[in-house]
Amino acid sequence: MIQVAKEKPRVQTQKNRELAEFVSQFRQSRAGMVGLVLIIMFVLLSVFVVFAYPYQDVVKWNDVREWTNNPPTAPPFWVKMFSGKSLPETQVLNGSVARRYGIENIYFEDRVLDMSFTYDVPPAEVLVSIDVSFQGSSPLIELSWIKPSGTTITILRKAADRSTEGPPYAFSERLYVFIDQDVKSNMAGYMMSTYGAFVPVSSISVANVLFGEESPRVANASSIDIEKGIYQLKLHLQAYDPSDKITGFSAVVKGTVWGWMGTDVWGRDLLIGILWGTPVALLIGALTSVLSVGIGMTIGVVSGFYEGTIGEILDRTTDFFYMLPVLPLLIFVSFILRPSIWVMIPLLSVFGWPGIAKTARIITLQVKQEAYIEAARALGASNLWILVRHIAPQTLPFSFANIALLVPGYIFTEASISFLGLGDPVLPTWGKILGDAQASGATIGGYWWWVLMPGMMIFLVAISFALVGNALDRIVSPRLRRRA
Amino acid sequence: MSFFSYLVKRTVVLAATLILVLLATIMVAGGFGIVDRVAESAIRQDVNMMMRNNPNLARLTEAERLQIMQTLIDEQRRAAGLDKPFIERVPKYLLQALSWDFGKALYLRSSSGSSLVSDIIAEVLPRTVLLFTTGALLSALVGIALGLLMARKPLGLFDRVMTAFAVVSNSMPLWWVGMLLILLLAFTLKVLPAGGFVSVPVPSDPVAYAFDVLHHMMLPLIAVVLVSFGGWAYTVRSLLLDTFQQDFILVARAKGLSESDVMYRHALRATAPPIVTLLLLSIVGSMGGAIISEVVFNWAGMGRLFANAVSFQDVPVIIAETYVFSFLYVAVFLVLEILYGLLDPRVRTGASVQG
Repeated sequence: MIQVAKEKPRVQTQKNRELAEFVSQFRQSRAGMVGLVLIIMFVLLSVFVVFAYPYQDVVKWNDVREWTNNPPTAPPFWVKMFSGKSLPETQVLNGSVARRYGIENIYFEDRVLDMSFTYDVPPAEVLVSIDVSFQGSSPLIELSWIKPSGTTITILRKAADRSTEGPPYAFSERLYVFIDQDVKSNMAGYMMSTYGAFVPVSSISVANVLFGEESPRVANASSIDIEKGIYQLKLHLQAYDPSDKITGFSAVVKGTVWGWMGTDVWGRDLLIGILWGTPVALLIGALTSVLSVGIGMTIGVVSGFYEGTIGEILDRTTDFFYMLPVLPLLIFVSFILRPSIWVMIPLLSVFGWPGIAKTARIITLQVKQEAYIEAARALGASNLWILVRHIAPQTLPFSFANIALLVPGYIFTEASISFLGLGDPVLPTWGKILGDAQASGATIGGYWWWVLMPGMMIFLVAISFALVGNALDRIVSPRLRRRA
Repeated sequence: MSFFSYLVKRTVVLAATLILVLLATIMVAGGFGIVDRVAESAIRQDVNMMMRNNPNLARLTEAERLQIMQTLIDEQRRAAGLDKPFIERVPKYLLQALSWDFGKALYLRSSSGSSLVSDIIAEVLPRTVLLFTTGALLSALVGIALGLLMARKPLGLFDRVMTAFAVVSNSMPLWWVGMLLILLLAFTLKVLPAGGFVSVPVPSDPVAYAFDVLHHMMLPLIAVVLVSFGGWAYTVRSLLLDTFQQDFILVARAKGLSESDVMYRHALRATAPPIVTLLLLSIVGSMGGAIISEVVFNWAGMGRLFANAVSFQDVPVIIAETYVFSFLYVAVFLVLEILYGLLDPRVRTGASVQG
C-alpha cells in the first residue's frame, strides 16, 4: 500500500518533466512560436466575431437585397492612401425639413438635402428614394440638383403614378440617378439649353454633368474637374389636395471606396463575410483533423497490434481509402447531400485518416518489439491493457503534430467545395466568397480586393498551423527515430 | 516471388479496389434515388421526342396521346430494367461503368455536339493530363535541381530561404495563386491570356494551334510550378540529407570520389524510388486540385467539366467524372507499383522495405 502511494508521485514528476522538456523544445522553435501566436490570435478573433456580428448578421449577409445602399465592387477605403486622390466614401442623406405653401387649390411642398462633396472623383452612384402619398389626382414631382456655384439642373420631372390601391395612394420611386434613362435625357436637354451642345443620350455621363466644373464638353469628357462645396438635392411637390405629402425623401451617395475590405458585386460588406469565415474555417480545420487523427490512430494502432486477420483486414481497408480520389468523391457526395458544416466535418474526416493509420501502424509495430512490452506481458497484462496503457500513449506526440499538419489541407478542401457552391448553405466561408468572386469575373474585372483578402486569410490560417505542425514534428520525429 | 507474379498480384488488388470504388459510387448515387431519377427523365425525353416526330400521332386526342406515351414509357422502363429494385441493377451499372459506357449527358455537349458522356470525357481528359503532367514534371525538375543545391550547404542561407519559401508556398491553394496571377499578369500587365484552352477563332494550322495552346498554358503552368517547386526542393533536400547518413556514402567519400560524384552517382540514385513515388503521387494530387484550378483558368479539362456538371446539375456527367477520377487514381497507383518494383528490387522479392 505504502509503496504504491510512493510510486504515484514519481510517475507524475516523470511525466511533468517530459512535458516541460517538450514545451521548452517547442519554445526554441521561433517559427513554431510565431505559428502558435497566430493561431491564438485567430481564435480570439473568432470569439470576437461571433459576439460582435451575431447570427442575424450572417443571415443578412446572405440576403443581397439588404445591401442595395452600398456601392458594388468598391475597393477598401485605404486605397485612398495609394491613389494620391481623395476618393469619395458613401454618404447617406436624410432629415430634410418640409416647407409647405400653396396658392388657390394648388399645394406645394419642398424638401432639401444638403451634401458636402470635396473629393477628386465623382461618386459611384446617387440613389434617391422618394415616397409620396396622395388622395386623388396625381401630384407633380420635380427633383433638382443645385451645385455649389448655384447652377440648378432638373434631374427628374414626372407625375406621381399610383403604385398601390387607395386612396390614399402611395407613390414610391428608387431612382438610380447615374443610369436612369429619363435622367440622361434631361441631362442632354440641359447641355443643349445651356451650351447649345448636342450630346447623344447614350454617351452622356450623368456623374460628369452633376459633379463636374461647368463646361460645354463636361457631359462626355473622360476626366473632369470636380466642383467642390455644398450640393443641394431639392424635391418639389405640386399637389391638388391639402393632405397630399412627401412621406419620405432620402439619398445615398455611393462612394467609390467602402469599408475595410471593400464590397462585392452585390454591394455586400466583404469584411463581415471574411471575418465570419474565421470561426468556420477554424472549426472545420480543427475538428476534422482531430476526428481523422483519432480514426487513423485507432485503426493504425489496432492493425499494427493484432497482426493476424484483424490487422490484415484493417490494413487492406486503409490501403483502399488511401487510393480514393478524395476531392472528386467529396464533390460527388456534397452534390448529393448539400452538407451543413456538421455533416461536412465527419465527411472530410472519413477520407482523411489513411495516411495517419499507415504511420501509426508502423510505430506500433516498432513499439511492440520493445522489452518493456514483453515485461508487461510477462507480468500478465492483458492485450487491451498493453494497447491502452503502453502503446497508445507512444503515438500521442505524433498525433499532436499530425493534427496541426492536417489542418491546412482540410481548410483547402473545404474551400474548394464551397468554391463550387456545395458547402454550408448559410455560413459565409472564404471558399464561397472566392467562388462568388470567380463567378462574377473578379479576376478579369480587376476586383483584386475580392480575391486577395479571403485568400490571404486561408493562407495565414494554413501557414500558422503548418508552422506549429512542423515545429512539433521536428521534436517528435527524432524521438521516434531514436526508438527505432 | 518473380516480378511477374508480383505484378499480377498487385493488379488484382488494384482492380478490386477500383471495382469497390465504382460500386460505392453507384450505391451512393442509387441509394439517394438519383440514378433512377436520371434514367426516368432520359426516357421521358426520348418518348416525347419520338411522339413529336411521328406524324401519325398528331391527329389523336390528348387522352389517347397520353395513353400511348405512358405505354411507351413503361415499355422503355422495362427495357432499361427500371421496374426492378435498384439493388438488382447494380451489376449492370457496374459493367457499364467498367466499359466506359456512361450514358447520355442531360445538358452538356462535347464540342462536336455529342451528348454521350464518354465522348465528352474523351475530349477533355487529354487537356487535363497535358496541363497537370507537364506542371508536375516541371516542378519536379526545378525542385530536384534546387533540392540538390540546398543539400550542398544544409542550414546555409540558400537552404533557409528555400525552406521558408517551401512552407509559404505550401500554405497557398493553387487556385488562389492562379487567381492572383490572372489579376497580375493578365489583367494588370496584360502579358498572358487570362484563361481558355485556345484562342477564338481556333487556329487551323497545327503548328499555330500548338503554340496557341502553349501560350494559354503558360499562366496555369507558372501557377502550378510556383506553388509546388518549393515543397519538392525541400523534400529532395531532406531525402538527400538522410541518404548522406548512410554507410555507402561514407564508403564513396572514403574512396576519394569527388563531392559531385558522391552527390549525383550515389546519393541521387539512392533517392530515386521515393522521388518517383512522389512524382506520381503529385500528379494524382494535382489532378484532384485541378478541379478548381481549371475553373479559375477556364481550362476546358476534366475539372472544369466537373464544375460545369455540378452547376448544371448534369448528374450522368457527375457520376462519370467520379468514376473516371477513380480510374485515373488507381491507374497511377498501378504504374507506381510497377515502377517501384523495377526500381527497388526488395519490393518484388518480397523483402521488407520498412527498414
